[in-house]
Amino acid sequence: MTPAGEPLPAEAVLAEVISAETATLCRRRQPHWLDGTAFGEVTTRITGRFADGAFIDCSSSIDAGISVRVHTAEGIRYQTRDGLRPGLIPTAFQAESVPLEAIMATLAAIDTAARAYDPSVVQVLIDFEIANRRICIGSLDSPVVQDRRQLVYLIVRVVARLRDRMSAGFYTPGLAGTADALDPAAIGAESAARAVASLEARPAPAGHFPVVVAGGRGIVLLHEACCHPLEGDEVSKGSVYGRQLGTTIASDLVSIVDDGTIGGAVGTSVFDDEGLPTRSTPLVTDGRLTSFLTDRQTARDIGHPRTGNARCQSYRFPPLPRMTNTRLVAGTARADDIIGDTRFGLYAQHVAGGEVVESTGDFVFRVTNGYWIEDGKIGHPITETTVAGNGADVLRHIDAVADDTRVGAARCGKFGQYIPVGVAGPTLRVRSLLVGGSSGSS
Amino acid sequence: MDPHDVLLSASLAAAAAEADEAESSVIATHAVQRDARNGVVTVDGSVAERQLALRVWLGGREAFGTYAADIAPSAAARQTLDLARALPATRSLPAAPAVRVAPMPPAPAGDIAELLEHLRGLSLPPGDGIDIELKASHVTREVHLRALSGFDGIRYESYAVIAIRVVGRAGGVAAQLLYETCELSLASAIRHVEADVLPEALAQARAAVRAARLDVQPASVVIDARLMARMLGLLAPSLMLESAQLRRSRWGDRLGQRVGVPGLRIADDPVPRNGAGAIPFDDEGIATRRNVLVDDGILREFLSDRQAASREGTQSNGSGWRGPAGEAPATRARFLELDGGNGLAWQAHHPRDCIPGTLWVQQAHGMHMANDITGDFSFAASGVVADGSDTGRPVRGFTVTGNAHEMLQHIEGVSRCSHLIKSSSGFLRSPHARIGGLTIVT
Repeated sequence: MTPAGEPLPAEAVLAEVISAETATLCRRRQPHWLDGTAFGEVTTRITGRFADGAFIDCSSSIDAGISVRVHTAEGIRYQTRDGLRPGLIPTAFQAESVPLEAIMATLAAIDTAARAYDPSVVQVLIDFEIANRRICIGSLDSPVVQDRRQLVYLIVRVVARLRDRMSAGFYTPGLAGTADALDPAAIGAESAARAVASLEARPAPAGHFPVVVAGGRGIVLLHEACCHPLEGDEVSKGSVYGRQLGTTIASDLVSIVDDGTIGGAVGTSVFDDEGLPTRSTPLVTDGRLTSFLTDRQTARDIGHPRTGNARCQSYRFPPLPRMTNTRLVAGTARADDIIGDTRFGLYAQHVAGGEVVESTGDFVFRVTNGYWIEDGKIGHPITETTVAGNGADVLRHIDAVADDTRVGAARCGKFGQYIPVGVAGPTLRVRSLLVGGSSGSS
Repeated sequence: MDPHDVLLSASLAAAAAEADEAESSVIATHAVQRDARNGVVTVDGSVAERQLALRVWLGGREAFGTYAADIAPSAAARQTLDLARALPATRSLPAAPAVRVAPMPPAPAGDIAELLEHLRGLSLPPGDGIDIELKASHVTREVHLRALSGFDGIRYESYAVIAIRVVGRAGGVAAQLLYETCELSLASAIRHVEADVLPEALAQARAAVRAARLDVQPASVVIDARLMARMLGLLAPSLMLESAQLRRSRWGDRLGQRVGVPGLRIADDPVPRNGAGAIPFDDEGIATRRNVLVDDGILREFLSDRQAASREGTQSNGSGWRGPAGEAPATRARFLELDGGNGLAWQAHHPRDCIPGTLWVQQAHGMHMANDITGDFSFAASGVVADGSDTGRPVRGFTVTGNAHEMLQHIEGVSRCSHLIKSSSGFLRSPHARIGGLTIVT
């Protein structure tokens, strides 16, 4: 309470608790402790599902807890507890109102726009999450810091039906901010376009082909092929790039940055989850490997500078070195020219996600909307397909990078922790990837 | 007085002032995590939390809220009721849980510390270039559910999951293999890992470094039980009544019709026949039962919660479960299992039991990216080709493409042994399965 008897602001409550925890950590420090942090959060969240113009369900949550982590030569030890102090939560956070009317209006507008796109659209299903996280972190070697992270994340699925064919479009718009920054008309139209295009899709050819990947969400290709093996814990386990710092690992057209400062991107924050400032870290510069991504533990383990990449899903989990926003630096080519220069191959317009084998660099990603390119022209749509390759080969075989940068949002899963990550960059082309289609093998 | 009891009573009393109906639950969770790599404990942590959830119905509006347990019950009720008032009136009052269930005693946990130390020992590398990483988690949960209508129940849950990563290296080649096992107790999980999973993993890792690209079309294809269990998870949405009502299920209008080969059975069974780990009621207080969804290849029933059932004029079959992130109860699978009975029985349990030329798919990347509406999947894979030897010929670098729904029509045989995993779709159990009609792209 303030001297005037008013409830303390939320941030002040959290800072008070974490400052006390950090002071205790300092007092009880053991000789074998190399580092230590106290992490506290209070998160309010609205989630739900919206189908065909109405809510299926809607939930609100107030989650609060603390985790104390200690680093030793072997690894991390942690203990968590829920809550902060009895009675603090309602006084601090009850004033936060739920902007449900605005959320409903946005979702309804997406639904309307999707159905207006084409009469074949029969269903619009939207999973939504709107979160407001207040984070406070103290450590043995840094002052207590605070961060506030707002997130809006939608998963829009549109089903289109034409005669006996059914197809689904999938789109995940997201941003660090509030829901009023979304463009519902554009989201609805884009989601519907993906579903409707797939109605006429033919099975993708199977075999090795050039692949042109559209920018924005398509940068998942690099997220998987390059950046997961650069995370400090994977480097310490012997990832495929673990011994290649300073060497050329990619085409000289390729420069990749992990950038936790991109305004509005879902992976952006002021501090990481161990209290270190986030930053823009060049990972690959003109094809040369220049940095790994570390948290406090892995920076020590691999003898690499701290890069401020410690992230955790919530206080319940220990932090891991994770990407923030993966950005491919724009080139000078035009996307249309890259397609025109491709005699035959796959145009991956939209990508769902992927997975990588860190020790070998083998990866896959799923093309949810793609087109076959023939004689430099975009032709018929193809059904969803998986594209596979090896990261080391792919990076060297990127032979065109355009200038049309876009930003996308995704969720990344690692050892059971799911966090928002941004992907940003222009259209690019890879000389050869394995396309796992079904219309005959090559 | 039991603190859970205080929280339940107080939150219900606060909600009762305005709500037409209310249900309150308190979930006390304790989880331990231990990661060990090459004999060193790299992560050692514990989570202790208590969470209050409140579900209210108010004038045709339903809302659900979850709260850190140190929130004042009156504040939780106020927050949830405020949410309900903001939602449109679309929900009918739920059917009251009709069963009063006597609490079943929790299963003995054993000496967790001793078990986890044993786990560290299992991670010691065998010394031939192989790295072993084990990630174990053991979760115990006490769930209290109480309703204004009179239901009052307690249930205990416990499970352990061990994820294993084995990396083999030889002659500059690396092979990374992943396994997972799930049991109801940590002791069982560790026994299973020590006796079965780890020896198999080491043998496969030693072989995998010699793997060549698959260069022939296989005579037949076997999907390993662990991967088939994940395929079962892809089918889960199509088995939900809610999906059928939303026209999102491929089988929405196929009740009573053939969806799989004769002999195929898919059931959801939170009450296993041996009684161990039985969950007596779902997250809506409805008594659970074994639901046979597909019998002899015929679709017999959908999973349903109370809302989905009431729209059909029927009763819930005990399939109302909260989501993986604690979301409001909705129709979900809890413990899906697939088997073939005697009709599909196939005596192979290992590649050496197969006719030469059979491709046994053992590892997959990208399965999670399957389309959950159409069932289309395509993933990168590795495995062995049976050649009459004990280990088979290791192969890599191919993709497997198909459709999860159509796959059920092409199951040629299933093994007697099965494997259990845990995913966001719940617990999944499946045998190895020989399947026709899959496209293998090399």
